[in-house]
Amino acid sequence: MSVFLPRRPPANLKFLYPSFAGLVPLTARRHESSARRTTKRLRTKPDPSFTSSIPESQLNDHIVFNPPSSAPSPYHTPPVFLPPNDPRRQLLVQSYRHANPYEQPERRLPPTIKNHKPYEKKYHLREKEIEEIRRLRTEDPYTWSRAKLAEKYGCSPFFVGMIAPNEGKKAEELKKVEQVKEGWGRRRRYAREDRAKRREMWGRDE
Amino acid sequence: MKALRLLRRSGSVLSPRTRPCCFIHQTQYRNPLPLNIFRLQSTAPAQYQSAIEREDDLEPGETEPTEDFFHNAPTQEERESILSQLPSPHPQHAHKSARLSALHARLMLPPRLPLETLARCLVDPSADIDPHFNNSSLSILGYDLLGLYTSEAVLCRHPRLPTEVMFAAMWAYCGPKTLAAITREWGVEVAAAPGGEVDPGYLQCKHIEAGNASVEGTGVQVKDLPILATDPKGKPMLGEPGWRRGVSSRTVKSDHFGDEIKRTVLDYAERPELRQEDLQRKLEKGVTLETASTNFVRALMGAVYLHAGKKAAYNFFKAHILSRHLDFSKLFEFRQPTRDLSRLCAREGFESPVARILSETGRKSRSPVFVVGVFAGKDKLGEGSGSSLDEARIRAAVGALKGWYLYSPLEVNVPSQAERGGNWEPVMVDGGEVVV
Repeated sequence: MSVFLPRRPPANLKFLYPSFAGLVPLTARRHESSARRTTKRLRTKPDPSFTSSIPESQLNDHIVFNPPSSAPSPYHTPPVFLPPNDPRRQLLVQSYRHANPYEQPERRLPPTIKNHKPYEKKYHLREKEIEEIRRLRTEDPYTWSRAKLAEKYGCSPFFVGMIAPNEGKKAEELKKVEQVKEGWGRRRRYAREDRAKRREMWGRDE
Repeated sequence: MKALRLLRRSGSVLSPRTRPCCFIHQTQYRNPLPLNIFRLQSTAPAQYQSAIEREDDLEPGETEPTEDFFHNAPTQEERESILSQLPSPHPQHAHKSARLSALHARLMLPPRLPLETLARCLVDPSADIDPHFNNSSLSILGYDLLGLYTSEAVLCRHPRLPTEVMFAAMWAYCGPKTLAAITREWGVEVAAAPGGEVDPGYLQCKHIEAGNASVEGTGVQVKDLPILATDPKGKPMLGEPGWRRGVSSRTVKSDHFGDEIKRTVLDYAERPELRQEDLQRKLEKGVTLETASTNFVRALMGAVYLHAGKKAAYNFFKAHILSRHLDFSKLFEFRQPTRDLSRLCAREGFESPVARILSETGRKSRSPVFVVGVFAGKDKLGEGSGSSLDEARIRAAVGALKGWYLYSPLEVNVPSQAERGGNWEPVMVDGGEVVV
């Protein structure tokens, strides 16, 4: 047998009653009941870490140290960074709790950030190729950009910029950027400046 | 009087100190003044004469002052006029100052440090130009001691700190602002104007004219700002004012905080009159409260060293300077942490660092959180969180670099505290910071 329990008590469904029923102050009762329920719900027990070890008599006479789970402290040196003669190195290896969990064969490393490609330096370019890169870049810096040359010769764009810098093109590009920036309004400019400031805060760890 | 055992080098501090004006008084008054003309430290016993008010506790061996003495003794007014002519309080007054004794007790200074020297520490060169009566010589010694103790304490405990951070830590521990704060915390008050009639328990200095505003939000005064060159390129050239030197140059040629030294020892050696000129200028212009407080703390450090020895000086340093909490991890600022970290890994022979997502939430939402770890092979170097993958990655690299730089050995013996003949374990010397 199924019992039908209405979600709302019939007293709340005003439209079912004749119009004079609205004069009856039903709302007062409703408030009282919801307040009681809310209070009951809010009366949660404190976390056991706050109270469990403290006797009742000293409950108001102690310091609670219950820090939230947070980023690791910068004062904690990772085991790889410890010098070889540091005694902590041996202790960490022997410890069950603090040993590196990824050393276990069944434990896989977490996924890398999607577009990350490990880059290996090849050191394969000789004097001849470097001369060629310089020539191409001076002849037509717009066709032979750093990225294109890097792709062609299998090196990094940074390396191309290092061996064949093109100050003229850089200055022109900067001028173009400045022109674009002058066209910005107040809001966009402020937003960009704020973004740069936030980026600086990452380096300060703020 | 209690005999003090003095160290060999403290002789110059305690020798009888005179100044020409004292002799003027001597010719003026034939009879001995109630104040000794020779301003003596407590340990120079020869010319001590008991003052009139000490009549009651005369010892049997001492002779009573003659009738003639009382007859010709200067009146209260005369005594005050003599006092007000002195640029700083008479050393003999140190024992009458409740402030000074209270300060001595409050700082728990070693009993071997006499009140006279404590009073001398409170006299700034801007108040009294005479180097025998002001704290200039003591503050030079104290500056060097503070620099030595602080630098070895910081560097031995954090052997991998970059030089810039090291300078910042030195500034935070014993820079002028800290020493001025320490002076306030010790409860040392400043005299409105220096003079012989002032209680010796006050810090005596001539105040500089007000009106030098500080640059908003920096705490740097306008006059201390480096002058930028009017070069069209905007960069000051080598040797010009405002030219910023490299870190390695600053380790050699600068003071403890990496700042330029305006007058070097060589300058003074070439033109000895410069020293007097500088002092004279200071006397005319006055000094800031910060400078005077700094000189006082340094001088007290030097005085403790001279009177009570090395151990007491180090204890004093530990109690008042090293006990201050400094969060080293807040002193770092990285421009390109990921690049620095990969250079570091290449230098130290670790695998190149890879950023891996440890956990994330709300990637498609308005406020996602990513937790990213930097790994070298299977070892986690650092961890960081942020609202974008880039932010988390960069913060993780910053965390890894801080983990490297903030390494601290378990047991540290600083070189200055090594005992003669004891076993000395050399402290760790690191390969240096990452240079890109």
